[in-house]
Amino acid sequence: VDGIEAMAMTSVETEASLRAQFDAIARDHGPALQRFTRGYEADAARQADLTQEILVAIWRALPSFEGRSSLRTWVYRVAHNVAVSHVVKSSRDRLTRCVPLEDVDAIFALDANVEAEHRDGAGRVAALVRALKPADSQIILLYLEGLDHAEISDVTGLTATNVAVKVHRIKDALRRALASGGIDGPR
Amino acid sequence: MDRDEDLRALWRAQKTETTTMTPENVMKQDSKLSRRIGARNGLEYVAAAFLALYFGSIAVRPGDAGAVLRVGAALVVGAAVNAAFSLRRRGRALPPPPVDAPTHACVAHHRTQLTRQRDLLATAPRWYVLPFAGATLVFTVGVGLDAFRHGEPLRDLVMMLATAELVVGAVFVLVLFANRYVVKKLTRKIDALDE
Repeated sequence: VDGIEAMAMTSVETEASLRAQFDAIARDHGPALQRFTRGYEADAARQADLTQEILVAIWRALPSFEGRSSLRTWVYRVAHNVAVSHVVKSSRDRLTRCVPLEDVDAIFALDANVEAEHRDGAGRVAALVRALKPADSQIILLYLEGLDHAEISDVTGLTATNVAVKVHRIKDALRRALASGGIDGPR
Repeated sequence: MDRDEDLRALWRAQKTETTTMTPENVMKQDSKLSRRIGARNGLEYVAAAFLALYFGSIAVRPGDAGAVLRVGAALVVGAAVNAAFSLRRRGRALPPPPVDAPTHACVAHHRTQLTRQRDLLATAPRWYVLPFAGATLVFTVGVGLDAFRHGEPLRDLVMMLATAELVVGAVFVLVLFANRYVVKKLTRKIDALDE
């Protein structure tokens, strides 16, 4: 009986610790996850759905978090994997409308839906990020959230050197595209 | 502040809502999702079982149904079983990598899934369209022969059969075109996942 009671106590403690960890993630990373979903979804309601989907995946995977990477990079890895699944399964052809980096300048001209987002600079950045291939979107989103090359490498599995090259290329492409209309909107 | 910091500051200054997700909300969402997947899978099995029972009963029930009609009904059951088996064997979702696996593993998994779906659809004429088209052809001929035995005029029967075969043929041609469209779309998705 003592053994069973001890196991029950441990299980309750584990549950309480998971809840506390989850609350901390939702509190500390919730805003970043919301911004993150804007890099994958244009529609506000779908962004909210995707944020929820990511939090559900985090809750499910939390017991397997072993602390081999920082909690922040782990959260971003889960978030990106869920977002990629979301994009792949999307019936709205998001994936087939990705453009290569060298064509990203043209995205404002190509996508009429972007028009409404021209008003704010972050909206323009989000529209550009969504136009990229998922692997490029992920790298630039992590960069925008302030992760360094080593952390981005930890999330993506790419080498830090590769990450540095890609960040540089994507930033250049974004700057070119933003400069074509200005960061505060088209001139 | 340099231009890189400008970009980051701009991104991080976006307005966000307060996250209201609690573990309770998440668990509710989680079980809702599991129920939805269970219901969808269940519906597919119920539809297959209904088809098999309906045409199976035509094939075996006592009465004056002709041999061709019975064979046609049995062939429809065979085509449905074959389609369900092919879907289960070649279209079943592969176990996904852990959700916190490195991104390249997750992308590779999606690529494999999309390739399987594309290959399954590309070969649909062989495992879906031909068996069902053959089975429905025999079945409708069986219906016509039974009606002829019951005194329906031959000319009316020929017209009825021709119309039925045309409609069935048109449906299968539409299925083939839809498949080709989806195969192209899946190929574009696979290309987009390739680096």
